Amino acid sequence: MNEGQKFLDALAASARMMAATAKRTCADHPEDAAFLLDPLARWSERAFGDEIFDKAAKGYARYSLHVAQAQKLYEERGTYTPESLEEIIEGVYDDPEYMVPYMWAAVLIYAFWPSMIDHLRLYRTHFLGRLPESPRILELGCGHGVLGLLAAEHRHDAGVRGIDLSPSAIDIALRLRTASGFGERVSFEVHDATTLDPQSASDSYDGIILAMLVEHVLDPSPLMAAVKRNLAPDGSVFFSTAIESPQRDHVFEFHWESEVIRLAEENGLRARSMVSEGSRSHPEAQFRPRAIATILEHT
Amino acid sequence: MDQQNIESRVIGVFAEQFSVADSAITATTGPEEIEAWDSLNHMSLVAALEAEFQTSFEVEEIMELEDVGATINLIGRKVRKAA
Repeated sequence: MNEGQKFLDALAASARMMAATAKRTCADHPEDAAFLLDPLARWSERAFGDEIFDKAAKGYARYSLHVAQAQKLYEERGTYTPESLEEIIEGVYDDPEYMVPYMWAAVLIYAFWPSMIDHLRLYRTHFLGRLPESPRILELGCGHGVLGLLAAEHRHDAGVRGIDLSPSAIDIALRLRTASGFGERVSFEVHDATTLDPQSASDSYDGIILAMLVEHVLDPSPLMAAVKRNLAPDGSVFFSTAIESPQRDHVFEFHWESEVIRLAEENGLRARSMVSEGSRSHPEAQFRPRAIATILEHT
Repeated sequence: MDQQNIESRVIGVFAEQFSVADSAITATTGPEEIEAWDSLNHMSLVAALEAEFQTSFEVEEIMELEDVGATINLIGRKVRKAA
């Protein structure tokens, strides 16, 4: 890893108790960690200056502590305990003070968490690596936009469109896009994913990304239906979500991998490949927080 | 509560939380030396320290607990402030 090391160095300086696990995860998966962190470091430094590494590390550390606190509460209460949707929208998605550090954490966990780094490998090899020539890619709920920008970085023939409900997230995505130099191939806009409809049969996407989003909505089915509507006949979907993983804004609770696959199947999609990995948990814990990533196609 | 008492009780909490001998823990012991010391177990450590010393930590303070010595120092400050 080259420039991406700056994220690890910043974490070691500002949150030592988080750095050891992150360093081990990157060392165990050097190719996947570099795939994300090297370009991200370049774009981030150009867009926000070198102080961004410290801010990102602190955002990641606070987020990880909040996740750990939420997991403890989950063990005690036995169910997710989110705030009301209105409170989450006001206190999370519409609040830049909360949303901006959260966005950095949401991207760094891909390289730093043992449960997430396999998602990067699946995304890189089974999704990006198998799309047709000059693929059109759509990301629903793109957040920071980094997965879409990585698609443009590693597939020079790809065009990417990202949409998200959060103006704060789209602001970060647009700044990173400018820094990446991919402005002609990548677009980001504030848009509700569930209302997205193809205008014609040719207006569909070879690749659709729906990553770590459905756990944030009360009913994931309309999002999956939007994926089905907008996917080209031979298209592929990178779909991921959280299982038994409470967070402040996780409102839809999956307990089993089979529930995730069934959601896809009920919407006319089937899994072609998948990974699911659980993070470390206390030996007596009743829940095993994990994250699943799958490649879907039309049935 | 004197400093030595705080030190020994903090070391006792670390030893129990991470299942290591008291003698294996020094002021410089940190996450690099204890593999189980990740974010989740850090919160378990915080809960155990809060119970042991009848105190509570803010998020900023939780971030300060980056090795045994820093933990001893922070708890010493909180105990003295509460006295």
